[in-house]
Amino acid sequence: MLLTAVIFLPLLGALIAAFLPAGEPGQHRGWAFFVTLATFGVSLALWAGFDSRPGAAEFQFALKVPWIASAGIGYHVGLDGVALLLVMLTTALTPIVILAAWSVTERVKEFLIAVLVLETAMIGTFAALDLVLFYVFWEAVLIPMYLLIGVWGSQNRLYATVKFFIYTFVASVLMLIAIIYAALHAGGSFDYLVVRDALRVGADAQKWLFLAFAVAFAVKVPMFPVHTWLPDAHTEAPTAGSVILAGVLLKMGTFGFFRYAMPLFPDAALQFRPAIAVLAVVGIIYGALMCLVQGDMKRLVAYSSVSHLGFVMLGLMALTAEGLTGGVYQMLNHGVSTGALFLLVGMLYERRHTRLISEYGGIAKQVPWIATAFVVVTLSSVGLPGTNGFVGEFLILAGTWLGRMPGTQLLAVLGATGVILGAVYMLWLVERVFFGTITSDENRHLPDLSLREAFVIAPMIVLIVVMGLAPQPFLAPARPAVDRLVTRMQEADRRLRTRDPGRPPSVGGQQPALALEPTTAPGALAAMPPAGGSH
Amino acid sequence: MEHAAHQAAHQLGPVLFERVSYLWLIPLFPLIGATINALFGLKLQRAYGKKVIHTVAVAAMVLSLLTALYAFQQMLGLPADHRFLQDTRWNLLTAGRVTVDLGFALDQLSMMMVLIITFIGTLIHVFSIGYMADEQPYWRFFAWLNLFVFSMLLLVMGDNFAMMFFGWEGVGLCSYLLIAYYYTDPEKAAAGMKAFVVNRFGDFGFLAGLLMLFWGMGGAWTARDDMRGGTYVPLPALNATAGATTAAQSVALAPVIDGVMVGPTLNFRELRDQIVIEKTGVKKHLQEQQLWGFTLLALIGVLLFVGAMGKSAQLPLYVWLPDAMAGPTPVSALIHAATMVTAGVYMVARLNFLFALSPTAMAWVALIGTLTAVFAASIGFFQYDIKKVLAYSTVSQLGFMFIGVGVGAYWAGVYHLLTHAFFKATLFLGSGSVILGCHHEQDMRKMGGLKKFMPTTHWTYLVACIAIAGFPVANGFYSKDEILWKAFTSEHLTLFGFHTPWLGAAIYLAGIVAATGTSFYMFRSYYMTFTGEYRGGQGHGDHGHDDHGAHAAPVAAAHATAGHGGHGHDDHGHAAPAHDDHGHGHAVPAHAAAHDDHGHGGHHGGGTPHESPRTITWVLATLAIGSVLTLFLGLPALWTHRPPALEHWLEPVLLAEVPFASKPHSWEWIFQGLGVLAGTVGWVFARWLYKDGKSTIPATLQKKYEGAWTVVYNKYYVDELYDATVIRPSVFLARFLSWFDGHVIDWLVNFAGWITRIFANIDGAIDKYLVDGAVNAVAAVTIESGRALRKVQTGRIQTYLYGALAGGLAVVLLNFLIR
Repeated sequence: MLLTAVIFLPLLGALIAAFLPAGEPGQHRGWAFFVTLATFGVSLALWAGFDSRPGAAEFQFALKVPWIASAGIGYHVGLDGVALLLVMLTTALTPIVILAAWSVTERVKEFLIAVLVLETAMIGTFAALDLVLFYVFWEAVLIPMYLLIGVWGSQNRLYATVKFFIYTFVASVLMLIAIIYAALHAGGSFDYLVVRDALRVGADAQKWLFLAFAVAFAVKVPMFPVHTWLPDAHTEAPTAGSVILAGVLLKMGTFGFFRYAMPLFPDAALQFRPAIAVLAVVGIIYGALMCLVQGDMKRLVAYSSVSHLGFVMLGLMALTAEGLTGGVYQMLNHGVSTGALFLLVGMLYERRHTRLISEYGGIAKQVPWIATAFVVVTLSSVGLPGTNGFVGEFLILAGTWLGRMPGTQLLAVLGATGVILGAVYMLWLVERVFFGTITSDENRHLPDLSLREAFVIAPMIVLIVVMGLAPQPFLAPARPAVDRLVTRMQEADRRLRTRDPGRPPSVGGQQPALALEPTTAPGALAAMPPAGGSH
Repeated sequence: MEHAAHQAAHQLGPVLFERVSYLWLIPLFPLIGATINALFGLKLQRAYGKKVIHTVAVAAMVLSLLTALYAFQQMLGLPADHRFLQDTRWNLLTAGRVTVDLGFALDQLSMMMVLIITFIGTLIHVFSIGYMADEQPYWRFFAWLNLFVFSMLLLVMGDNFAMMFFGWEGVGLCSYLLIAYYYTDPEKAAAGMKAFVVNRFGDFGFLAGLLMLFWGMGGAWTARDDMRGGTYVPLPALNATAGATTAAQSVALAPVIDGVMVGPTLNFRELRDQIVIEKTGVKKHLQEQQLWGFTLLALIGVLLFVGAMGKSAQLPLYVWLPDAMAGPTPVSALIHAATMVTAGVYMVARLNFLFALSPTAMAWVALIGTLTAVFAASIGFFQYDIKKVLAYSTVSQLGFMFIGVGVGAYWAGVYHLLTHAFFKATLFLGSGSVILGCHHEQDMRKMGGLKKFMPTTHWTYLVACIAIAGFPVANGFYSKDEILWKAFTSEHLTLFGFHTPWLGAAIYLAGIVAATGTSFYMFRSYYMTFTGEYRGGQGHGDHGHDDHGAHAAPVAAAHATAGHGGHGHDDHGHAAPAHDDHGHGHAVPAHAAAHDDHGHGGHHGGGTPHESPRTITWVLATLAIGSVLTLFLGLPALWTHRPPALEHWLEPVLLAEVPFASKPHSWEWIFQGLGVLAGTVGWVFARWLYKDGKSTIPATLQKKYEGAWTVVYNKYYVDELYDATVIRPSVFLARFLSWFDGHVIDWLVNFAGWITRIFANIDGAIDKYLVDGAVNAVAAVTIESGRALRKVQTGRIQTYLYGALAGGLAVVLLNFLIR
């Protein structure tokens, strides 16, 4: 019930908001802020109540109610550690987004209702344990997002919304077909757990099913080469839209891989894994290079998302405990850091009404607090130790390196170049926007952070530092889920290897290479040439 | 074999360590100082003046130094093989086999580093009081300086790679912030960024080497019982990380051999124990592994050294350091000379047991160090900016340190680190004092004759010059001589799989050439600055300290004094005499407005140079005395018949056994003589050419070899080379991809959309003529129902109440049904 309450509280809030008078934006803002804050408060109970010990149930706070029993569809929700973290991310980000959207003055009521509905849909996506329910929430996210960009976006918003909608919708329809097919081959039930255990399809069918899911998720992530909706959507979206889009929506894609595509179709996933990992690395480098030549701040941050989510995907494909944990952590990081970047860019936009980097320059003197916050967030984004970004990137690279996929070391090395490029484009952005001398007279009298804006950005900075210095509480819930996935994939790997005996093991860390029995004869070792002695 | 017998003599066991609980205080104090000044500095400075700011910062440093001294005292009380203080706070993160503790450790090596950092750091904080007195964002400077010391302490005190990397990146960040301290100047902001990005290249190597090492350790991870915070023990059935399926297997996969846990670890002590104790078999295992056709250990060593190249400014990643001189001079002294840049040397010394296993990696370290030493020294010959001379000198001296740790004379490399910290800090702070005295002039052509105006600065600078040139009366001789001697006698280095015993002699030759050059350019800077007549102050206007590129070409500019249009960003309009007493706290409000952009010009209009305030001269004197006294740490065994004090102290840490050829004592005497000779030759030439600024030979020579001079003066055009080979191609690639993104990928998307639209239009046409009626009907129904629904909105309270009631009922009903 608790989980259901968290899912539907925002929707309930939206319903009530619908009855509030449209001419009173203040009431709407206050109400929406209150509702999202309350949702966050209730979700804290989820975090506190989650049992992350290894013996605990896989899905907690579960609730299962028949919905369309005849078709095998049920209202089944529950959380594993990864979903829990993402739900927490959603509930924490939404009040901040609403606070940041105080400056929206047009159709405030509708705007806030859209955000509240969106929150319910997002939480539902993470909590669903029934494939149809998942699909419903998954698609439900599109509608308010479509409205947010289409109604409150900037000049070129129509093109962006249509592109966003069609891109993601077309891909999702493939997933729907796959869902139906899978359910029919799993005893007619749409329940995730049932399908996961009872799915019986041939190898070829599994490949197609995996692809259908993977394409839907890859578009959402977005992975290279299906990423081009993202820069447009981000650029045209209002600040709140960008933050939610970057902060939560993209995670739905990576979460989809973690929860659905890989555990449901492990054999196929293992076969496509090298390709996906390569695309992830391409995305890391490609996205970073794109950032170097963007003149629009929002486009730059959008492409940096392509790069960062490449890291997440690389970590997931490593299929080692380190890589998967790092991938999960990087999902949270990206939500926090990129969310914060969009908030800050939004603040600058509200002051100057332009996103062009060339319009700025030298404004650190005018807006020292914004500049400071921007630098801190930048450091998190480039993965400086002490910030959250480092933990994720380090674990991902370590996990990739330690993995057993052929060529994984090379992927890790190539992925690591993204760390260098990340520093280049982010610091260059900072330099061009904040440092140097003021070139445009309009920048001479920019107001610094207001109190409200301070409250918007402060929690993000606190999160950046806390998650950087004490990652353990955030890592702990993810661990059982990660271990389960690795185990599941290892079983699949074993199956593939019995079918094809020549295939080397490819999941988990490398085999222990050390001799298990210590050499008991020290004489044998003493005969070894001493350190470095080659003469 | 001498060393084989040696090896048998002491069977190395695990490190015996002492748990203490105060080590974390050493970095904590600077962190507190930094936090106070960063968060409240501006308010404090406005309310109580600058005094509060530096009191906080200096107090933090002093407390840190005192704690370090306490630790030193405790360490002295322990037996030599038991001098290892361990302070583990908590577990930072555990994922798979990767586990990181917030742990601090002090052994003899890191103890030495901590003492250098806190001692010289404190002095430089004090120096900054006078030097930065005119800067408006005073609080920012001290906050970052404290933050730097904090990071540096993490780097040397961290007991594992991750903590070291925390510090490693932290110092890079502070360096970035402090170089870009005058961020309103685009050039300085760019220099900061360059430093950060170039260091990132190094970090890339460091990280890759680290992961490779971790991977190479093989084995399996299991949760350990001590201090591992994480209560998580993976279920045997879920032990995905180890690939074990039963509990017994899981235990068997994490073997403990002779009380030493074997397996991948980030912890230095555990790493050392595993490798050093041969029974574990780890050493053998590592030596046998190959990756991509290379010996794994060589790859690890070289990659880790790439990290050191970045941080310690070695070829080819040194380019950021000269530009880093854009930061305030105390920063150059502390970060870019005494501490941060030596991090790479420290890292190699810390991992001596690992590097020693790969003669190839060691050879590369030594070779790159040698090339850097010669290359940077040659650039130092013709620079006119006093700080640039010192910057290239630092790069060159770091090269010497790497020669030391590369050939296996770890203690000598570390000793040079220590001596260099003293004399280079003296030189940098001396140059700072000169720059301050000459009203923010950095061009040596506009100095001269400062001897009589700045006596203390003069003699401290001279002492440091003597030290770096390698005369036996100061510390530099002892460290440099030991390094070169060990290089000459080394015979185990390997390049490309070939044993190269001749490499040692080659390194020696190059090293002695670099040493001669060092002596030359240092005394050149001394003579240009302190002797002859003062050449500044004749209405040259406010001269930018970095603009000498503008008059690079004309030779005649060598002694130009008149009318340059440049204007310093750094020129603060303080009246000259104001510095005579206390440097800080004077006339702040009067300058507040003028400081706005750091670009205000010409208030002082020349004037005579003046000695710096006492906070500056005392620091200079202390460091100069230190440059002499520290020679006693390294008196050669040849003279005293016992190992040098520092070598003896460091022996338990620097345990790698590296073979050296034994040569007769007479050779050693000769080589010491050669070292002194090299210093003398450099000095004589510098004196001949530059004393009193009278000789016209330099100008003549310069004219004669114009081409060569221009190439060297422009630093061999390395920056331009990077621009052409790295930066431009990357940007070009990025532009191409951007075009690709917009024109190819997006075009496909739009094309798909276009096709769909065509179909939709056809469909629409069918629709219009065939199904029109139906649609119209639907529309009519919709409109009608809308009209009907509109009646709901009556504006009458009762209707709404009914609605609300119905809704409530529905909720109750649903609730009931769901349960």
